[in-house]
Amino acid sequence: MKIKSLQLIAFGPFTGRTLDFSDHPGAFHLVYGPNEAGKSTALRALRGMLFGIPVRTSDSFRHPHPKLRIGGELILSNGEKIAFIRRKGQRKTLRAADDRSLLDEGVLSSFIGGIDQALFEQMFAIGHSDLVQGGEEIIAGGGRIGQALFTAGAGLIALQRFQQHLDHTMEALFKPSGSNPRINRILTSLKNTRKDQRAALLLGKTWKTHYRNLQEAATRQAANQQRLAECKQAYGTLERIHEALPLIARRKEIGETLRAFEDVPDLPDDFSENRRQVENTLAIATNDVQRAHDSMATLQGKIDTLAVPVALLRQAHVVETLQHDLGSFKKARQDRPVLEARMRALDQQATAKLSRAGITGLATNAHQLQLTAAVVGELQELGQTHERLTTRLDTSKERRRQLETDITTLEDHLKRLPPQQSVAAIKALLQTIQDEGPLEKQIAEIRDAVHHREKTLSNQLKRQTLWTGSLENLGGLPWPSRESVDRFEKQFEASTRQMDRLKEDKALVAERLAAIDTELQTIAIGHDVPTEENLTTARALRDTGWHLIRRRIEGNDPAEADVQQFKAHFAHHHALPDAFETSMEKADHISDRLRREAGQVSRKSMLAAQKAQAEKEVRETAARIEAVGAEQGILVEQWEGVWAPSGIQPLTPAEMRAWLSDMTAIREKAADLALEKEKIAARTAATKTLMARLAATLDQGGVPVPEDHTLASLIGIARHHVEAQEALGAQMAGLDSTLRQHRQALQKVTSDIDETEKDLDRWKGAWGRHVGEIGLTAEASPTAAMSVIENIREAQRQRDEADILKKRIQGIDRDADAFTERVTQLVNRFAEKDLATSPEEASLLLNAKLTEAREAQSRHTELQRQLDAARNEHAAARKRLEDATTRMQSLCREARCTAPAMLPEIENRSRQRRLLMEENRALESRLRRLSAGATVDAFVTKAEAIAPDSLDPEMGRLAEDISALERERSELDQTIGTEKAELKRMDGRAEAAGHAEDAERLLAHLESDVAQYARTKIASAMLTRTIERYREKHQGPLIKRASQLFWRMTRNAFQGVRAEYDGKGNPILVGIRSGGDEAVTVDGMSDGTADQLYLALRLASLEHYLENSEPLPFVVDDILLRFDDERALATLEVLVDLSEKTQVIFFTHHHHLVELAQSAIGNDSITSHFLSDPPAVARN
Amino acid sequence: MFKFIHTADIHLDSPLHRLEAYEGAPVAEIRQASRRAFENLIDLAVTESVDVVLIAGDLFDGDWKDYHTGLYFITQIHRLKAAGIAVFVVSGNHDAAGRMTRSLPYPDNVHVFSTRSPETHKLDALKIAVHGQSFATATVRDNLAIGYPDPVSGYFNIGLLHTSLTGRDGHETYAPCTLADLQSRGYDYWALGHVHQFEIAAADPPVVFPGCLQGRHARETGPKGALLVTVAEGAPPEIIHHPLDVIRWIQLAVNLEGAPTEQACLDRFVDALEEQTRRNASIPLIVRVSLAGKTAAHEQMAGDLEYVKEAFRSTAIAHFGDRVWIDKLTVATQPPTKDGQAPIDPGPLRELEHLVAEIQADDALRQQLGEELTDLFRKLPAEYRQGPGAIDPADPAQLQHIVKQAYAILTRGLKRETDAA
Repeated sequence: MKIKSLQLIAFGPFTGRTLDFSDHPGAFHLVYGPNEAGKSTALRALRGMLFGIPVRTSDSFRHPHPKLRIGGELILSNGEKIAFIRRKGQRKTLRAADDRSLLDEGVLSSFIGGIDQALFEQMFAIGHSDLVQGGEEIIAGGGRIGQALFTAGAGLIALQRFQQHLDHTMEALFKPSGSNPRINRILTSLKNTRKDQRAALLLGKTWKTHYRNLQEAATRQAANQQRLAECKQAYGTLERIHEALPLIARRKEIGETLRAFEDVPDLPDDFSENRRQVENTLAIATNDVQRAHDSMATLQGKIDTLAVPVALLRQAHVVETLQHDLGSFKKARQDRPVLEARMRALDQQATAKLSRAGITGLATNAHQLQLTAAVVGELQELGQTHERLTTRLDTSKERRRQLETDITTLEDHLKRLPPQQSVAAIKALLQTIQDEGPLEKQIAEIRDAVHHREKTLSNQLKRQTLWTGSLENLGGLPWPSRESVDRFEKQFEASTRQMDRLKEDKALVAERLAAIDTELQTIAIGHDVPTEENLTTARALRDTGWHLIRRRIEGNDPAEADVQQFKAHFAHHHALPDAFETSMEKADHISDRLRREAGQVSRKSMLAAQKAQAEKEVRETAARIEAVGAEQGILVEQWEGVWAPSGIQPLTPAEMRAWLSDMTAIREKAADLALEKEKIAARTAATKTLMARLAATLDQGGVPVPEDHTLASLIGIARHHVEAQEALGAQMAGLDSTLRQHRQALQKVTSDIDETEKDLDRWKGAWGRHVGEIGLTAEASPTAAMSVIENIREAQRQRDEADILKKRIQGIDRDADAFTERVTQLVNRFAEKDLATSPEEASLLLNAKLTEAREAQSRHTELQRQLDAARNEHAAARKRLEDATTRMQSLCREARCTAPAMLPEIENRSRQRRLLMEENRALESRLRRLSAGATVDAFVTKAEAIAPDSLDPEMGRLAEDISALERERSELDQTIGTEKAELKRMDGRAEAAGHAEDAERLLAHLESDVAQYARTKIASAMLTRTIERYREKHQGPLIKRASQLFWRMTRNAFQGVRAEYDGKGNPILVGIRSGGDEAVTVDGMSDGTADQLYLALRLASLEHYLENSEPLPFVVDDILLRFDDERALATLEVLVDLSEKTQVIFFTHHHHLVELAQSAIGNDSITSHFLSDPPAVARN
Repeated sequence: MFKFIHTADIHLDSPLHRLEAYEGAPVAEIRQASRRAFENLIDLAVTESVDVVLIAGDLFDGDWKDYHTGLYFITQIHRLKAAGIAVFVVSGNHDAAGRMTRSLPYPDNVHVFSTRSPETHKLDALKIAVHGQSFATATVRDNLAIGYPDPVSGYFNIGLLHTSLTGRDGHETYAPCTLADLQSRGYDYWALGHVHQFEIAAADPPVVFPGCLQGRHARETGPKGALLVTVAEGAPPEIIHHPLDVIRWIQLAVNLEGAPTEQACLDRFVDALEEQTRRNASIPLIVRVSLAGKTAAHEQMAGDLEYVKEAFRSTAIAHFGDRVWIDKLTVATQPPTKDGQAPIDPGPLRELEHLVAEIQADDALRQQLGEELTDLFRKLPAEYRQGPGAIDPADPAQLQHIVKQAYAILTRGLKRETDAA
């Protein structure tokens, strides 16, 4: 197979690029593409063409995935061809050359020998890295022939590595004497696991032994417990009897003693105590009776000698009252002189005051001096009026002085102010300017806007290319109306539609015609379909024959010439009948066929008719297409004519409509712009006028105007002037008004002063009249009059107080007399008169008498009370004496005796008896305890039955038994504990089962690892054998051919290669240097030489393959990188030679290689292809 | 009405056979699987308040000697005693071989049938009569069924027997008998054991194998458990199979026919496995995978089994976590056929192909090749050779298979672009 062409329709950077590998003398193609120009892309395209574009591709940067296309044409050596297109996709990527119908991959596959891409790469493609690795592989293998041939033969480049991989896999799995590989490790683990499993195993026997031991121990323990209980019981009984024996003996003794006390009364415990108490009580009571009797006699004697003054005691309350009044009497007597002194002092003070006020002679009768309230009130009011009038007069005078000063000051100020000007004219003008608005600012804004819009429009105009001119010229251009553009568009569209329809019709008819032709051809190829004419001719011939024969039968021989002419139609027949038969058969045959193939016949004739019709349609359609084309021409002329006046070459109506629309907009905006500009001019003029008027007005008002003013600055000056004048006016008005107010106030104050002076005159008349009443003249001041009045009032108050004091002194004297009278009366009745010299002494005496009487009465009462108590005591003591006597009699009865003196003896015997009884009870109680449930008598009987001497030996024997049994019990407890613990550990645990599980898992691993080892080992063995067999079969011819190639490629540096043996007897390849017989082993070769050796072997293998197989193109990718020019050229020559056997396509991005090849080998043998334009040097 | 559980072939503490562990495999799920399945059984009996549990033989594994297992069994049986459930046991061939079944300290709710002669044991309160006879030896070739006692009139009669009937695939024939033998006894229910697959051999009266309680190797696939039988007056016994296993074995055949890439193969595997996990909801699966079919990924599949195993396992972990244990993987894929085109002669590779063809055709050549493995096999223990997955290097048929695998390794390794080589 050869590749005729590789079409890079849409792939990587390429679009529609074709590498044509056909129509060239040689089959060696050098494809040059510098870096970035797509050498690698072209290589990928070649592979993609044959085997499909990979799912992930970097070649879709220009054409998207669905658009990627690679075309190819292949030709087999038998001339069979295929053309196809490959697209990118998952499946159905192979398409026919028309890029429409699908092709079956199988069709292509038969062209490339059914191999897949991997095998193709291995066998028919070689790249630089392959070569390098191949060389390294040979060196690494020490040049061993089998491996070198195998590697080169299969295009396998990593045989060593693969063999090592197999070896490593095996070593990791198993080594006969190792411990670390997996299988070895598993075997060890398995052994250990089984050992653990055995160790964890519990045998039934073991469990049962322990179980039985436990049961036995439990049984023995029960028996032991029983026996121990019995022994302890027996020992206990003996122990009790031993203890009871002395008690029993004592009990007997007491029984006998008690018999002597049978008649002794059983006296209570407290009997003696009671008796002693009663004896005591008797003695004391007797004594008490005597003492009470004596006491009564003594007291009665004392009462009889005591006297009590009863009359005085009856008047006791009178004496006590006198005592009380004595205090008041003493106090009055002390106060009286003080009061008298005070009364006299007051009287003297009053007299002094009146004389100071100028009132004399009247002192003895102060009451005549009484002042009337009316006189005093009148004088007080006149005093107050005088004070008010003088104050008012002073205030008014002060006010008048102040006003006069202010008025003078204001008048001065007013005189100093400047005169006021009128500003009405300026204000009117400012209002006018304000109404116009901010003119200068408006003008600037509009000007900016206009400038911007003008620039935009100009740019818009410049962007379109159909018309050139300025904005100003735009207005007058005679463009067609939008309607006429629409009309043209419709016409164009109609015309185009018509044309399309016609072309479509034409294609359809052509397609139909092709179909008809194809069918006609099929029919014609299948059979030469007979026609009616054929039949008519055959029948005519037959009839001619028949006619001749008939004539001959009828004896009318036909002309020999006619016969010959007839026979001439049938070459092989010499006799007329034979010829006739044939003619008849032929006619029949045609007839039969006609009948049989009538359908086909009619189909053929129908097709002929259809074909004629179709051809006619083709012609008609062509004519109409031409006509429509002409119409379109006219329409175009008209269209251009419409635009000619504007000097515009129009595009399509649709485009022109858009253009027109844009331009109309521009034109309208230009008009707007002109209007805006006019507005600016108008505003500027108005501004100037206003400015002139304002300046003039200001000048008239004497306001200075600067030279370089603007409207705004002028307005500022004018406003300032107006404000100043208005402020001046306001100040003047304010001063005037104040002055007026002050003058009015002055007038009012002056009249007030006059009025007040008149009031004072009237007051002086009234005052003169009233002041005489208190003895003063009219000249006296109101203050002096008030002082006189006050003195008269004080003197009157002092005279009143002195009168009161006089009355109190008279009362005191009366009370003293009454008290003295009462005292005298009492003394006369109860005491000796001469003992009392004064009422005070008399009173004290009476009081002492009363106290004495009261003491005597109290003594009498006390003695009487003591006498009563003594009488009571006497009665009580007698009662106690009687009671004690009765109780003593009762005790004697209880002790069954007649006299109290016998009692102590009886008490003593009773006590002895009781002690014995108690001892006896205690003994019985202890015996009852020892008898352990039996009655005391039964126990005593039982004890008495045992010989006392046998007790101790019996008890000793029992104690020994008990001790032995207890030891046994302890041992049994221990055994039971141990066995229970042992059985507890046998708890049904799953330890052994767990080990068994682990073992199964190890075995599973073992199975899987053994299987892996086995297949790897067998694979390795098989590979070794294959390599050896391949060497044996092919070593001779391959080495011979490789030797030649090596010699050529090394330019005779080496004569060739040959087989030798290394130290271990392995056959190895060595190179032979030229001009001697020196053998060079591969490790002595340079890298380049090793590459060449590998290439030689590779090419030798390829040639060997090509000898008896359909060739496939050999694709070489820049393998000469490490070759010097000489050897590169030699290698290119070798490849050129190879191209006689199969197509060789050599990709490179080294231009010097192309030059080298072209110059040294020549274009006859080499066809160069440039993926980019060839560099300048190459063109020469 | 009363209820009983019929179970058999419990093989307590028998491990899951030859299960290959790997990183990420649900190891905890398989620990003591047989014990946990047995606990499930006891739970079922207690929660369903059954009256009787029947164990039709092979309680323990024949060569299993650990008395701990028996003691564990007894502790579980005590749970039944506490619930007032009676237990009837006949010993099977495994029990007879191991002898543990008959030597345990059973509580009084358990009755183990005699080996000498068939006996009848009656539960008068429930009117149930259980007839049975234990295996005296591991290989009982006599028909035990024909010696079974006559039914007790007015009672529900159950025959408890360890048998393979007239023979079942993969099971030794012990205590052989025909269905007719059993039916002639006139019993109401035949509770059989020995066959590890649940089977209702006859419907009227029911003759039933409950199957084993927990699958223990790759041939015991599908749900395993025990039967819950409800007997009501005047109706045939209602038999329900309750799966009680804690992990389940599955044979998963994945058809890779036409799968274009390795990823596609994995996708198909995941789909097939998804189906299985859905069908066996909520229980972990041990899956043995076999791959077959013509696929473009054949070379990758057959040429590097270790890698493929790894890939399938990690895919399974990614998709199903610890629901699935991928045990072993067999690859029987084929390359896609090329229509009518002989493969091109690639020189050395052709030589390899020839050599393989020769080896495969010649037993002697294969045996010679098999000797390469002698070093290894000398070291392997007997346990290995007894396993069903063991290789016998002296067996030409097995070598044929190995050679095929080896050839796949070489075809893949000798490709230029493979990473492995």
